[in-house]
Amino acid sequence: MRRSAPLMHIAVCALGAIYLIFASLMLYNWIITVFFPTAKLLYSICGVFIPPDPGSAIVLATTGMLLAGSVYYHYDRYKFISCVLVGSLLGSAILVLQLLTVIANAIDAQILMLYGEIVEYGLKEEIMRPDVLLGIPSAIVLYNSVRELRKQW
Amino acid sequence: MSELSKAKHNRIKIALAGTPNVGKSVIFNNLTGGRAWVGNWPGTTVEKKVGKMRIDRQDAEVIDLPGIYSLTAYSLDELIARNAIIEEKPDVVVNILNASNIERSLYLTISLLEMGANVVVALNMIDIARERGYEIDVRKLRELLGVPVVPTIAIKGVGIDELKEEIKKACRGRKTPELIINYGDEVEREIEKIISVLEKDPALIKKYNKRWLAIKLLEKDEDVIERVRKSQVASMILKQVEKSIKTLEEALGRDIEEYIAEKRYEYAFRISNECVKVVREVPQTPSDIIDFAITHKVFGIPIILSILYMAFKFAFDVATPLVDLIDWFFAAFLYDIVKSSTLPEVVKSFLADGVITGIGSILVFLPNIVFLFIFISLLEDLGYMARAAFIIDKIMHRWGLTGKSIIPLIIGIGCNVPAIIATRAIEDENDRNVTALVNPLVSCSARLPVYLVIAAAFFVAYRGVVVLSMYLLGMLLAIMMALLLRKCVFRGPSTGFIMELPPYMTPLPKNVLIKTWERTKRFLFKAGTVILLATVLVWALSVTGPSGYIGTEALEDPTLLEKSWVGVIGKTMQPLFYPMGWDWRAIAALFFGFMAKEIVVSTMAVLYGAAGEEELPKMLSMAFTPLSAYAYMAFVLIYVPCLATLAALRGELGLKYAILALIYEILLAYLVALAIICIGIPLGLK
Amino acid sequence: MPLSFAPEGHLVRVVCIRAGRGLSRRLIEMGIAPGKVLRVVRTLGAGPVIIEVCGDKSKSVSDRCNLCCTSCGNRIVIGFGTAMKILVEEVARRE
Repeated sequence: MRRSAPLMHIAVCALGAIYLIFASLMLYNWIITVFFPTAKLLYSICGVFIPPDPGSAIVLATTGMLLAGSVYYHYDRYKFISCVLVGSLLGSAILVLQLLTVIANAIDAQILMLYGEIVEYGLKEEIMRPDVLLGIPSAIVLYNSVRELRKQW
Repeated sequence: MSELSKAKHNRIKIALAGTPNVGKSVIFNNLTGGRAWVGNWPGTTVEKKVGKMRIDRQDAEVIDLPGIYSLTAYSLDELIARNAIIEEKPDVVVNILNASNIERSLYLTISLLEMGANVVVALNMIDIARERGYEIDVRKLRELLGVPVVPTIAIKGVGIDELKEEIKKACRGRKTPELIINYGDEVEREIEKIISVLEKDPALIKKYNKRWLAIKLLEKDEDVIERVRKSQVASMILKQVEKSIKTLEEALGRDIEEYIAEKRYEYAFRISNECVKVVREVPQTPSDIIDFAITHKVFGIPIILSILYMAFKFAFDVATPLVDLIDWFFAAFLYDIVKSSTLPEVVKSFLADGVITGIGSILVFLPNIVFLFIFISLLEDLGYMARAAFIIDKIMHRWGLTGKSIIPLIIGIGCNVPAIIATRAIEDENDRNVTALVNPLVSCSARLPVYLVIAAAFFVAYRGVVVLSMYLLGMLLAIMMALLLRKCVFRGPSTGFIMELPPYMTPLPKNVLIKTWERTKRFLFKAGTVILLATVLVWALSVTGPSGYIGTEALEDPTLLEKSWVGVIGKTMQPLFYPMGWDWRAIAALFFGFMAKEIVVSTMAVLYGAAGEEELPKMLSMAFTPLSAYAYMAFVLIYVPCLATLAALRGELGLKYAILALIYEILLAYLVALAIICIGIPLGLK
Repeated sequence: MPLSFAPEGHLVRVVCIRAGRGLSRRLIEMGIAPGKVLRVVRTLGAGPVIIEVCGDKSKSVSDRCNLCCTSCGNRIVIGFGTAMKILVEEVARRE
């Protein structure tokens, strides 16, 4: 385990950095769509896949901070695991929530048919979001860190 | 006397006492199979709860007391618990101990034994004690305390049957030997002296344990002094007490009250030292490890924000299908059935436009509310709330509140009424008053329907952000008002708070659901009574006017509606709201919203002639501009607490402060709405 | 020094409590009395603190903590206002 530790540090840190990048992109997209909706040139970097959602951006940023920040505590196993655990927990939680939302929207489309409304909803857009995509490695990290913690008790 | 009434008269009473967060409510649920709120943060049970259990084919009453550390008259919770024990004279007091923190729990046990209560000890959370690396010698503890001790793990149901058995035994064989702590020769001598005076009033001695009374008098316990004052020999007793206190404080050179408390604690410490042995050293428990990040200086607040966002996402996005289903059921299905029936026109309109539209437009928010409560209950059971209180204290302190205020403020997101009751757990009176007074500013679930309807009409793309901004505005105003109240009305420094940090626990689905149900019940009850009445009233006032009955056509014809009572009320108040540019219907809705804020939506639905929730936004987009709609949302957020909240404020703080809350909120609402318009127009917003 | 300013991870001894009747009593009931040794688990830098009660005046500190003290691991949150009223002195630096 000793030998694999630095690898773990690097992986977690990289994941954290990706989270931070996507968080800032999301925030950027939000600012663009809210304050400069007419400026076509500025609009969205991959607007389809990075929705302008400030709330999600906060969660992504927090997750990123925790994962990337954990490396700051690389000297102390407990502190390191603590940050990784909470960070990946948040990342996985938002993944689960987003998946629940997708299921909810799918059911909702069925219900709206009762009204005779045909709702178009983009499953692809709902799933190809950074919170979902990044949630998967996050869940793996969570699984690993929980196992790491279990070893002790 | 018949057998039955005799049995009723002698009904067995069992009280549950324990420190906060020790699992009392879980044991309560286990014993009674009943329902009490169970939360993993201190101070969930703010009022005593009563349930039933069966002992030897007899009904016994189980009272769940608030969580307390001792039996002083210091905080309201403690007084409630103590009075319940003094007045109700329970046959058995089940004292629940936290096995992972036995010495702090024993303080209460000792206080109970000193009172002469018939105690059965449940040693709860032994699993956590083991996890922390120590074992408790139960036999030794039983010996030292002289009362039955049952080890339990309440959330897993371990030891509950044994506990029931011990309770039964204790009911039959009343009276355990009272515990006597030696407080040192000087104190004991004075206690003897006070007892000898107390003995002159046999009534007093009969009612209370005399040694306990003497000790409490030495401790300058206000409540006990009040009780003694009613005695005929009161002046004699109090004179002796005063003399004793003076002698003792001179001899000991310190405050006698603190001295006694410390002695008691020392005793608890000795007992715990004798029966707890450390099996192995545990450097850090999983809870401690997780806490490092959760309570981190930098990460703490982003984590709180993330969790809040997730709560709202869960409550709104995930609950959408249920919302639409309920809406379809009322606005399309039931509405059409009634409208196409062969009933007379008035009855049809009454049922469809009044009752169904009214109830439907409220019940449509039930899923949102249930989901929000599920999330809050999960956080409570997980143990996150106490951490949030710690993180937030530094900020709250700056604004004249304490970290503990966060609990009522978060409950307030659900409903302000239980939130205001929950302020009882705050020890400092000024803190308590301020927290309760600003609580109506926290946007409760009843206001959510209003935001959602308006947001759906004007801010489709940013629904979430706009709704969130209302919550933030509410919090911001609450903080500013708190600061103002602190500066002007409740001066003096805050004493802060102390709270145990519970270990994290996996929430039990059953407990979460029970709690969610308890909280939702209130909403449903309101929907069935107040709101139903109010919508019917609105309907009635819309189809009648100063000229008498107008007819149900009024609901579809704006010119007719203007002549109704609702039109009259709205129009009279319209000049007041001239700058905001709201039409009279919106103003009339505000008027009815005083009963409960949900009614604003159902009133608007009736007044704008919308068939259900889906249609209302379309109607609204014609009546408002986005700016005036936003100002309207802010106004609804702030203006007057609903009737139930006012009643709660009156109950907790008195009529004077309830009126203060009413007045400041109306003024503040008007100012904020005006400010939004005044700032918005020059910015080019419409 | 007020408890609020005590550095994280350090052991401190309570010197005196400058609080009103009710509060100082509540503190004693929670095991925070003059002479008691506390471990500062977490601070937010001159704000609220999380502490553990680690022992008392009669015993030496070093062999008490982590050995046989039953309240260790039981953490208490103390709000800023209260933490300012508890005066402590440093005993040892410990991680």
